[in-house]
Amino acid sequence: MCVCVCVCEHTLLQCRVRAFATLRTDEPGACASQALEDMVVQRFPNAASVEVKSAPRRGRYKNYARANQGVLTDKGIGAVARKLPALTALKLDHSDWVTPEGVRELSSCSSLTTLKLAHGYRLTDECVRGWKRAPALTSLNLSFSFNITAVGVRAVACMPTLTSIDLQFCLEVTDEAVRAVSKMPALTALNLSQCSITDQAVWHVSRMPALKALKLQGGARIGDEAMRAVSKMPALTSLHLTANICITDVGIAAVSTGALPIPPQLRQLGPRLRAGATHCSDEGATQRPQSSTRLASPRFPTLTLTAHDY
Amino acid sequence: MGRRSTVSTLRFLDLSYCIYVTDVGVRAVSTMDALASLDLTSCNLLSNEAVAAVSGMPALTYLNLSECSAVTNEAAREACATMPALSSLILVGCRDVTAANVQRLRTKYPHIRIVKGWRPPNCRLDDPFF
Repeated sequence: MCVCVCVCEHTLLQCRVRAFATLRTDEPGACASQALEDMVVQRFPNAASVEVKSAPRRGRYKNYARANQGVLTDKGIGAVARKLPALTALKLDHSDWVTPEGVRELSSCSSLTTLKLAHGYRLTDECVRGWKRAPALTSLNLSFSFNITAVGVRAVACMPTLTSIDLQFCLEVTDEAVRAVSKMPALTALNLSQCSITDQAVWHVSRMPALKALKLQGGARIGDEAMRAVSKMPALTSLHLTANICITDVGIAAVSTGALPIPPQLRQLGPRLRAGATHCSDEGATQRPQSSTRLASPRFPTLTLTAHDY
Repeated sequence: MGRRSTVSTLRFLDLSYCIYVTDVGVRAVSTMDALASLDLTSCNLLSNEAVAAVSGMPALTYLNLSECSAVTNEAAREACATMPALSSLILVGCRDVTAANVQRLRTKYPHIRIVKGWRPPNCRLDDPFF
């Protein structure tokens, strides 16, 4: 019964939010907020899960988004927080107009386990700190929240109940922030796609004993050395590396063997020089094989001494 | 007793658009016996050799070779014939895999969903975490 209600509510709410997006009003986001009150708070007072997909800024709704229609504001969140005490999951896509004040309203939802505030361009580190009072929160999605920095991530890392964190496209998240996250022993899923991280961050992540799923998509500064770190993760079952152009065959081999293979050219060098030569670098990225016909040549053509001529 | 490594636990591996991965890298992947889903979309340096390398993987149920332009009919046939657990084979944008060959494979291996058209495939193996 409960599941059925959630599904219906999900479907209806999406329809209504999109329908409201065609209306015109002077107050940005008032339509979506009203839809929330109508559809969820009044018709489904026992709803446990609410998912809202506001009009994105592109595609067929781009004109509405340009006119500030069909977006969710603090008013809608306030209504949900006050009138749905049993709420366990709140998922908001394109929450462009949600501010720290709106997020603060959520502190009254003590049973909230899943919170998604994707595209929260107005969210700051300050509002993340307020979630320390969410004792049941297990899943947190802050993807595309450009203003979340290491300070906010450190606050997130203080929430011991979290098992899943999504920080995709949080451009201010750096290796230092990931270091704080790596101290969360219960975390099983972590998304660091398109963050400003390097191989060092992956080494921090590799110390997480329970991590089962890791997304590192589009990491322009993640290379083969990071894959060696990944190979040390005993519980990892899911690894997403989409569009990592610094990862080569060497890194893939490292995932399966646990070590970066040492090509013959480097074997006669001491370990210190070898370590310097096996780091992924921009120079290395320019020396990729041009076609599969080069496969018969030495196995890892990117690891040569060309850029490290001692 | 040695520490368990990633190679024995990994079930989902997405290497799509990792454009510098070659057949050699895929050969390393083939040692991961627990792997159920492998996405190699747009790894343009891959050839039929890569498909041959993964063909012995016992648990692989989802293989995406979309936009791997060097993959041919022979590789598609080998994938269907030699992968015991395969249920989805995505070949969107593989220019050298012909529609006629795909039709033949669909007839011969009805338990495998082979996608060749230009529509985005909707048969991805569900990753429970993302």
